[in-house]
Amino acid sequence: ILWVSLHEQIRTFIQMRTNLKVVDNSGAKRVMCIQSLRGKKGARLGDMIIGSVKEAQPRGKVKKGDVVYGVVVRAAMKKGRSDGSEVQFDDNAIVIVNNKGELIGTRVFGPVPHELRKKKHLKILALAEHIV
Amino acid sequence: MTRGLSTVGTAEVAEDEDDSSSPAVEHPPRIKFKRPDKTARHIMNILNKEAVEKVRTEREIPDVQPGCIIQMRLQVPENKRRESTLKGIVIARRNAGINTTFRLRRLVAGVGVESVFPLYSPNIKEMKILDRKKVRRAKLYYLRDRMNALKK
Repeated sequence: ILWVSLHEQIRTFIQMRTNLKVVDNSGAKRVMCIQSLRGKKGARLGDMIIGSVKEAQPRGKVKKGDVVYGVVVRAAMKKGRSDGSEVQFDDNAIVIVNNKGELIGTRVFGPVPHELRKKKHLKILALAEHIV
Repeated sequence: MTRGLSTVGTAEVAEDEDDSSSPAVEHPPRIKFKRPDKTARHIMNILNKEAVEKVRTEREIPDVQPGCIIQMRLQVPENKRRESTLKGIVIARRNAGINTTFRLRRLVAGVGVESVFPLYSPNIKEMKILDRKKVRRAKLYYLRDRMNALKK
């Protein structure tokens, strides 16, 4: 999150070295993005990234230092919708998946956008607490 | 249907110096400024106002100002035909004719979400103002840093 002027925050893509929060119960807490699998400038809401786990819970399915795939479920950058509205969240968060797109964890915390339906991540939508 | 355009009126004509220019070709008198009635800006203004009035007669749209706490019912056609209820505070409003948008900030499942909606969108089925807070600003972006427990 950068500030250009006092009026408006400039929120950009999720790129290399971006720290993201993990919102499922796979065991990881923070992941640093090392590659975005879509887009030259970086990942947006609903895209997949490759990340390295920086902080993990002691007994979990992933350990610190693992290279994992993730799906971005909350992005600070706004995402436009087809009806003219836009949505943006307060933080960046991902859910850890394997390289086929299947979830590793069994629960998802927090709200998710319904952009995931178009990207065919239906399992995440089914487990989510609230769909925005 | 007359739309406020009139053909009666004077145009500003620049003084031409016919003596110095070539006498063989006769130029028509050059007009410096178009009549304000005939500019594209004027026509777009009229079209905008008509579109806004048309929407206003169909639905009742309250006067949303920054600082209002609003509850609205949205129908999202994107794969979901159900109506969702959103409740939040308006932190900004941008006036642009038919494309007037307002920014709504709400707390969803513990995470702050900001959404921008067009005011005259047909997806907004109902809008109700719950409360009006006194603010001394048009854009309340400072609320991003303070997330009080109440919806403020």
